[in-house]
Amino acid sequence: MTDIGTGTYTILAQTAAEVMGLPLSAVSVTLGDSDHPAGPGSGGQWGAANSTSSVYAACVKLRAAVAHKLGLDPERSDFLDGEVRAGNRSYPLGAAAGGGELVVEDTLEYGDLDQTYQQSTFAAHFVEIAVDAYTGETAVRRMLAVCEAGRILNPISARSQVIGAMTMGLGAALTEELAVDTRLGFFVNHDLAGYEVPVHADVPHQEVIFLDTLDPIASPMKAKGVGELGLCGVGAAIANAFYNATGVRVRNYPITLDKYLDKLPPV
Amino acid sequence: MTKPATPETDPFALSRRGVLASTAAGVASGALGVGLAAPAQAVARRVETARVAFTLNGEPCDLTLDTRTTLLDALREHLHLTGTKKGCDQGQCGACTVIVNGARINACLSLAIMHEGDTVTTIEGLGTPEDLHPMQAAFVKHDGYQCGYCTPGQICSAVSVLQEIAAGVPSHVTGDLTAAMEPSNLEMRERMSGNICRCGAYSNIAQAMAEAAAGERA
Amino acid sequence: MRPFTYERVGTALEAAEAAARRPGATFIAGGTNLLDLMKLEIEAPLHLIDVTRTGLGVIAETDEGGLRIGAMVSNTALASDPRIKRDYALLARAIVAGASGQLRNKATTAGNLLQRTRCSYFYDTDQPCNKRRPGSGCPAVGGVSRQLGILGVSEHCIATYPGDMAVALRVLDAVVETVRADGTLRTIPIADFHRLWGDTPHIETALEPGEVITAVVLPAPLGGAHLYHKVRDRRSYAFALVSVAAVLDGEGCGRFAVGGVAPRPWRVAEADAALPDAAEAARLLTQGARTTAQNAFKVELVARTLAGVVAEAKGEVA
Ligand SMILES: Cc1cc2nc3c(=O)[nH]c(=O)nc-3n(C[C@H](O)[C@H](O)[C@H](O)COP(=O)(O)OP(=O)(O)OC[C@H]3O[C@@H](n4cnc5c(N)ncnc54)[C@H](O)[C@@H]3O)c2cc1C
Ligand code: SF4
Repeated sequence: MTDIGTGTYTILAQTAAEVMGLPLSAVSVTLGDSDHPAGPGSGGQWGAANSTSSVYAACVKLRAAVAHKLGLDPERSDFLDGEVRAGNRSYPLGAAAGGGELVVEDTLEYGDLDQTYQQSTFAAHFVEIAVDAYTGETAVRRMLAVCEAGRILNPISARSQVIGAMTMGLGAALTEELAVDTRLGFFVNHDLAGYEVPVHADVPHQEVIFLDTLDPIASPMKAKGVGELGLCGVGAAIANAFYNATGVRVRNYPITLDKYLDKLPPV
Repeated sequence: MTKPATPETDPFALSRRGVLASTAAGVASGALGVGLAAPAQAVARRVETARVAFTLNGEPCDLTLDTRTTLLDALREHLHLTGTKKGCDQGQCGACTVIVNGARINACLSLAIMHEGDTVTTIEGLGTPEDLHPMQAAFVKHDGYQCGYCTPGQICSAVSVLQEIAAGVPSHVTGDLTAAMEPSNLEMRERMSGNICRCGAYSNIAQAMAEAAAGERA
Repeated sequence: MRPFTYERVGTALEAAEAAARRPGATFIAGGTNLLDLMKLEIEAPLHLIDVTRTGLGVIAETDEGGLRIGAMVSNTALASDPRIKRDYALLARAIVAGASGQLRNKATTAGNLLQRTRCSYFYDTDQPCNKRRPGSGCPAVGGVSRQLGILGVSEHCIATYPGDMAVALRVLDAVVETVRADGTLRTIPIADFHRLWGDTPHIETALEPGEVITAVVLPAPLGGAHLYHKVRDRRSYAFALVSVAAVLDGEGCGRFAVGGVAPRPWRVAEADAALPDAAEAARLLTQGARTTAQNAFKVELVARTLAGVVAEAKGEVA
């Protein structure tokens, strides 16, 4: 498991802090070390749900180990404010380690869950675009994504994932084209001046709405992922909006004006 | 550092020079014709060094550098200020944005030795983790990044953009060129377009800038 | 990047003299084009002459009621000058349509005029290119040419002059002033400054070897609507597919030039005269266009962009 800016560190720390009854600052997360147990990896939109669920599983096991050390019944122990409490007894959490370390590991396997349930995330993408009646230039004015992905583990970083994906979708729909000279085997626009990814000015306004739902089947955290949710559908929404605006269907991305200029109404 | 190529160390040295000489001849016409006067094989290039002194984040610094060193490489490799990032190294991404004499520039397309006497501010000079610049604090608050690689450049640019708007520097979306300019959403987004963010944090960056702009005006 | 020696000069004449003295010398101003090309070893000067501290960073009024823009005035300073914003809005608009805020802070008036083409084949030293290596051929003609030129091009090179500022200068009838090593001064009308490629695409401008640009002179202001419309694939920080610079009256009459289509900003007197008939003006301007399958759309794009600009001058669109 890695964190390339997606917020993994934060959601893992949040999960552990909440289950262990600790402040966030008391949790340190390390990732990307081959000494660690194998994680699910970041990709296919499963990283967040799986890695937080495995942290959750390990913490449940850790709670049992702590209670056991302290001679408490794990079922009747509360982990709150850095303490373990049972009845009128309370111990600082660290006491269980007795100056040393208490290490647990747990594994999560989903068995045939994916055979028995379809576990999709859902989003509706809305875009408003403007097409210049003279020049045919296409500009996105507003974008909105309404997303359902089970528990949203962190609303800030989840939103950042989605607006980033919407931006990438915009680039795929309107500007990003790899030009290859097949005679020379040459990638012609192999730099950031030639291969045009969206810039600030391409993205004037974005909104994201998360539907507040839990998915009790998908994972112990009742969460699914948002990594790809923000991307799938953006291109289609832009192409449809373009069609609504012009009456012209462009069927190959990116929708650049050389592909449709001659089909626009004359000026 | 690159060693000077000699026919002994570089079997391609001679033929390379031949190519370069014809290149230089081509250039010549664009600018100067002198490439033609330089016979290919006669050109034995040595690494040349030069001295430069400028003020960096309030401190004087004095360096002797290979003349080819960009300001970006001087900052990162010689002064070990690695906050400024090398993205494309061709002026196409903005990750290397620093502020020189009050104006943001791409440090990758500037020779360090041309900055004699200049005042250079990098992300390290704007604020520190303990004492953030208001723009840095606004970026943190609004999650104005994901991977963080473009962030130092975005922040240096964002700080300069607000100053440019206040100073009446026009942009592509400015309506009336002669009227006072506002830090509107569109103005900021247009002016920030020289800083590419592949994670797509633009909307969060715009929010951070709006908050910093409101703070400045309050 | 290949090693080079470096010197800083105090005046334009010293720069010209230094260039005459040192074989393989090139001037460096903002460096935003030259250093890019040097890193790629498309340019490999032996000696760099830094012309940024030559006192050419001022804009002064001329006796004729125009402005003399020093060669080292930055693009930002030029676009922000109150006189430019008021009387030569076209120039300010063209400048801010180009590059990015960072680049415009560094780019100079002279350097901007002399920026070289962005043809992708030119930019890759593994590819043949008549401009980079005379006689090696032009792979762009039968290759990826969507961005490239349709006017004033030849079978030897179909690259464009990629800049924005010069398109406005062409409409404004600016004049380039230079000095040579022997101290003689020269003025070159902007119309003659950039050369057509013909069979020598490596010769790009009317400058002589070692000649230094000292200023660009604008004649007295032209009244009317100053409009610059740049069409590109993304909303900012991209080179033009086509751009139209125009100074027009309320009837849509006046003058215009087109960028992104040719080795120089393209302006045709008969096309100016055909205004306000945008279709006819565009037809006259693009007459004799030599297109490829990929860039033929630029003919239509010029016509449509001009139509939009004329409509705007007439107050028909915002
Ligand atoms: C990513 C990117 C995007 C860009 N987008 C645009 C765009 O959309 N529109 C646009 O117009 N431009 C664009 N540019 C180009 C930019 O405007 C130029 O790089 C800049 O204007 C060059 O100015 P400079 O002062 O940095 O020139 P330099 O790089 O210093 O010099 C360029 C040439 O001019 C010569 N020279 C400089 N001064 C003199 C003088 N006084 N006398 C004689 N010769 C001289 C040099 O020898 C050199 O050959 C872009 C550049 C980049 C990197
Ligand atoms: S179009 Fe001109 S610059 Fe481009 S490859 Fe051909 S000769 Fe070279």
